[in-house]
Amino acid sequence: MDEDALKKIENDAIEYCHKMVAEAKAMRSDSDRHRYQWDLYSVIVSCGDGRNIRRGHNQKRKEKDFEQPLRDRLKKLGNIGDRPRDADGKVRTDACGNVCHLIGSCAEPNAANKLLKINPKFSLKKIEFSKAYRPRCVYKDDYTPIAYCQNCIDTFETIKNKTNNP
Amino acid sequence: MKRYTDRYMFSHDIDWFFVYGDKPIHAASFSGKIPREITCEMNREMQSFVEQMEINVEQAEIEISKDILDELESVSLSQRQAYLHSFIEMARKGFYSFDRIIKYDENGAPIFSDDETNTYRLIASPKTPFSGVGNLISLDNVVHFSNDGTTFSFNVESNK
Repeated sequence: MDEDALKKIENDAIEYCHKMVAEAKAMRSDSDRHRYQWDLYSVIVSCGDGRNIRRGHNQKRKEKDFEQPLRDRLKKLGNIGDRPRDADGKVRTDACGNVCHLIGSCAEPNAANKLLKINPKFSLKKIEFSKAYRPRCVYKDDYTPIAYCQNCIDTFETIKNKTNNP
Repeated sequence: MKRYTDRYMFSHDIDWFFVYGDKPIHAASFSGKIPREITCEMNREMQSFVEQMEINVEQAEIEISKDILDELESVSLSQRQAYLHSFIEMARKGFYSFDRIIKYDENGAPIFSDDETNTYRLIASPKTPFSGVGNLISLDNVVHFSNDGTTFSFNVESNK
């Protein structure tokens, strides 16, 4: 994918964070609308195939929610919705000793799944992702991306390559 | 009264508010659980009230926790600002502002954790705390603060 397409994916995620924060503030400032949901998502990511861009946020998912190729890939980590486990049954931890996330719950597979719904033949290996962002921590032109988790590194080739060559 | 569901709490970074003793507290959940005593309606009204509060304190008049500043030493000034700004805003409105504990990887990037840790730590403190604590729910019997007041936690009950 060319540089422009990658930049568009990155900008999409950042713009979405800005939009979400602005909307939450606007809703909270309008007392008549206080019954509506206006909390920020915890983590969001955008992904693309070169033509289409889709966003995802972290959420608990079940096996049936995922398109076949992604479902198969995620199941290599373990049961979707559970934490990955080592051969001895212990919950896996990453290099820093943090417990691995619930399989399929990250923003990345949720974004990729939306992309696969509109472009089912697109290779999982080629899906490009923005960095992961916590909307609360995207402020003006400043932002601190969140580290990709081990599940996403193990699931998506492009994330694995980025992590090896930041 | 409607409570936040587990699924909702898992996906969202909810601003919630309470009073402990006479201290007004703001906390950012970052996908952690929040106590059952905090209902959706009550919290949304509080979010709305706080959003509409005027900021009448200079940034210099709030205090950032030293531990946080030490941890953020390796990141750029703009990244530090990006992380801190929402907590600073709450402290400028008179709240002791807490974030659910986050960890960092070897490159200093924050790590999102869904490990159900319900320990929060102090990020920013006001010099002049918000005086209208009567508007806030007291959680004196629910949350447990460390002796120095820099962290708190609570027992989690599932909200289905």
